[in-house]
Amino acid sequence: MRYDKLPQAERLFDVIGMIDDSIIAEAQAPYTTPSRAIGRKQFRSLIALACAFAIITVGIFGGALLSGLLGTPIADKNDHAAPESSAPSQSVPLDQLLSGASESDAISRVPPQAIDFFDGNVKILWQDLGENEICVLPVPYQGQAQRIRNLLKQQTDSIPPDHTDPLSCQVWIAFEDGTVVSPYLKDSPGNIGYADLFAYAPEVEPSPDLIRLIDELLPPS
Amino acid sequence: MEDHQIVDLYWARSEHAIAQTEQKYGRMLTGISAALVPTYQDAEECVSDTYLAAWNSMPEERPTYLGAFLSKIVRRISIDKFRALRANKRGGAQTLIDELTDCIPSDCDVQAEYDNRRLAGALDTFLRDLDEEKRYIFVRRYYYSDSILEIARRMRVSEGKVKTVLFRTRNALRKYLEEEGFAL
Repeated sequence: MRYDKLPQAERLFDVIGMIDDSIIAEAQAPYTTPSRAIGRKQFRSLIALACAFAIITVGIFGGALLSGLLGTPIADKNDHAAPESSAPSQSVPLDQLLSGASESDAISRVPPQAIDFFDGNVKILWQDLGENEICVLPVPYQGQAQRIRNLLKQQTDSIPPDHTDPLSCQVWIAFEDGTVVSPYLKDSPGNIGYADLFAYAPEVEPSPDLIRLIDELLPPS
Repeated sequence: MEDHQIVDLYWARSEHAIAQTEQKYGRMLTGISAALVPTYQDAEECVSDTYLAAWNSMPEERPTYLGAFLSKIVRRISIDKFRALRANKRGGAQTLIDELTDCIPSDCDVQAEYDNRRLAGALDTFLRDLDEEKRYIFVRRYYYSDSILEIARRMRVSEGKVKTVLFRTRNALRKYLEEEGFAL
């Protein structure tokens, strides 16, 4: 370090605070490597492939469903004896759902420092009140991880500021790029962590669709 | 809430403006400040001062990028706080020097401000000419004050790569400023 240059370095450090807002905003967002971006031609090819796959899938299974070969009749709207929802835990809040699964032998429990945020896997993490260990639930498929991302962006049911019921556990979702978010916080750059589990005050209720998806991932009790 | 909606709250002098700002940007602002000042308490004070400064600056200001606008304020406040704490620690000559800043004519302030704006413009040009990766690393390090490790994790690269990019970019910036005739 050149001590005679320190004052000038301080000035430069100050002036860096005056750079254009668009440059600052660009670096505020999570970094996307250029290799992840796909060109237009590749994008069109992917769309065409996806459409073809969807048509084939509907063609094979749609006909079978309508003809009742799979034995799952479409429920009559006026049928009051329609079976109950196959996911009774839909009405269970997310924190209680996960707390209830904490004791399952199929759920890993690790100290916070043992969590690897950069192993390329998407994970649902929760910490019961008063406990140090973190419960870890892997999200095995990319499609599920993408659905979680999409659902997190859509959450709108705000928790009133005077809501006082404490959560049974703190919940986070860690993505493969090290970003950590909580389903109890609104989707915003200010609510993203990197490779750390942070304390928070809940802002939104996790949506029923998100709870349902997480319930599907939990091992059977 | 979108940035323009929060800015509208400030312009309407709504009591919800600060709460919405805190909700959206609180953690980011605290992170920036905590990297610059010694204690978390200092960082919290800086962030509170930032909300006050934002309240006082709007209306008049109508920032397009609210996050960038707020981060500039908290950065400025945090650096000033760091210097004040440093001066208190050193005492002696530093305190005397700080007192003497009152003697510097205000024309010098105007000139310094003009020079700084020119330098900032040059920095903008330099940064825009960099590729995205180098620019991201440079801004995260010297504007957001991220550690090398934090940057490496954000970008999923090695710390060695981050250090190398920073070293080369600093050298390139020095050369650029020399060529542009900036005497810092």
